[in-house]
Amino acid sequence: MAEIEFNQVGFVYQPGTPFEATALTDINLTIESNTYTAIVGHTGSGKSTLIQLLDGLLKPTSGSVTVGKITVGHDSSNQQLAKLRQHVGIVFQFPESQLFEETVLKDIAFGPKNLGKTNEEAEQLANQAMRLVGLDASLASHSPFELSGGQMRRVAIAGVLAMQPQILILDEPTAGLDPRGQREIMELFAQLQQQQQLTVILVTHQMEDAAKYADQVVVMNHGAVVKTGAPREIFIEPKWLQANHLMVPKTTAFAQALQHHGFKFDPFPMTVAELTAQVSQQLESGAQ
Amino acid sequence: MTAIISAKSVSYHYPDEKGDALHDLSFDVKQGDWVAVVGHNGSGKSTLAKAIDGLLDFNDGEIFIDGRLIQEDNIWDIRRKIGFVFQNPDNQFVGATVADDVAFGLENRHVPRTEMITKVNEALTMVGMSEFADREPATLSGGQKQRVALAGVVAMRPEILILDEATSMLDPEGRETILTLLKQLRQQYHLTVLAITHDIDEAAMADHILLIDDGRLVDQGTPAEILTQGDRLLELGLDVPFGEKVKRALQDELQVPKEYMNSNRMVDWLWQKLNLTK
Repeated sequence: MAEIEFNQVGFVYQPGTPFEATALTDINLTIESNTYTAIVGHTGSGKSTLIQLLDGLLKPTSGSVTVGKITVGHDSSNQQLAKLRQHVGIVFQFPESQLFEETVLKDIAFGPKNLGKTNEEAEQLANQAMRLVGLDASLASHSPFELSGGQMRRVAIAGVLAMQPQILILDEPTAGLDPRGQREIMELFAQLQQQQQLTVILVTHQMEDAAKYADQVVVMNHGAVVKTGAPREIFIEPKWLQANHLMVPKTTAFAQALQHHGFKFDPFPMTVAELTAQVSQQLESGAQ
Repeated sequence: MTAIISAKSVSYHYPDEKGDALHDLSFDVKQGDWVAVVGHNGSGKSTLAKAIDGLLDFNDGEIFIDGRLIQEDNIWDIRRKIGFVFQNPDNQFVGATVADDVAFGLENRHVPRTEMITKVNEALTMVGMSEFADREPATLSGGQKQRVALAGVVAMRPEILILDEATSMLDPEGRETILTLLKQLRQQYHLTVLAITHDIDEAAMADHILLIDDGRLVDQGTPAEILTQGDRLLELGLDVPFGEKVKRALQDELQVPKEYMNSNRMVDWLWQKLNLTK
């Protein structure tokens, strides 16, 4: 089932003024329910505008955005936009900078309370969200500011999950974390997507993450969607990636180099495990 | 060998915290070297950088910069030798325009106006940002901001450049531009670079690596010596460079080389292996 549809969406900042700037042109995009989509593109390619449209923070200048049963266009009211937001949770970049409450539990419960839940309901949702993100229950009464960077980020993520969104948008969720923190957070989202049947949209510069986790990759350049497809379809052409200012995933670059030296890959590997399995097979079959 | 930075048994603990943020650290940094200080978030890397810049009244030990012990009466003098670039350039901007911002440090040192204009222009040209001189820093991209921050630091002609996760907030393109630029600047000005990072590929570029965990120096050596210790790196919350990752994934099936393999060497080695089977 299609959860999200962009239908000929265009967006212009400050139209009719000297500062007019076109951010998106003719976006057509379908995202199925309960899938993992990665949106990639260089800085300024329109990724942020796209996710702000999804969250009802911006209204399309032309065309329409449908999320579930709600469709918004340029003449939609603010109430309609607000309805979009009930389905969508966004984890912004450096989300821990938005923590403010005295305790971890209060901070996480803030969102659901804002949506009209009672104190008790909100705290229950907060406790549940803490479990989901792997925060120990004993941390509930701590100040979020006493925690490590990785833990603070988990608190911020729990705050979004406590609002029970069907769609979870992640804007560079691992920026600034050390490698262990990055691995843990990415594994957490993959797990949540499966267990909670979420529709996950990951905005990222890390092509390795897009290749490893996404069902579908959306490539943006100059405010347009230039390609959508499975990671294997996207990451197989290094020249095309470079032309669109994207890094080539390390696994892709490595496999391509091996191809030049006589190795053959089918299917083209997206992870180190897939790569080395095919490499050792070719070395063994050649030796026999 | 001249050590431009020499730390002897340095320890520090923050007043409100249990345990040492730095514990008995001793090491030397050779003049002109690029040294990567590697460890997970909260391992004490940034505290160490502060100690070297004389920003920390550490409890035990001594740090010498260019042979001089850091003390209260020479700290300003010593700090002149050191340029600091932080993770988030926004925390470093003070000027209304890019040029004003680069001029700020020079102004503080009472550099005469004509000389200052020349130096600012030079610095901006060096980082490829001269056409942005009149722009507001807030309107720049992350990578451009970090280049301006670098110009501000380099305009002061430091001998030592400390980079505190200076590329970690940038997108991959921005990161690569900054790293290339840093390599050039280092050559041109004979800088000693101390780069604090948890990016293992960045560490692989260094001459020497200091591996930090829980405020302790747990190992040091060349990239080849440190980066072949895959299990240990992972245990310390870090990553393994890609070539080594491939090597590790193959080691159950194949007799793999012991020495450090970057991606190119690993490709060459596998190619030879494939030819042998034919």
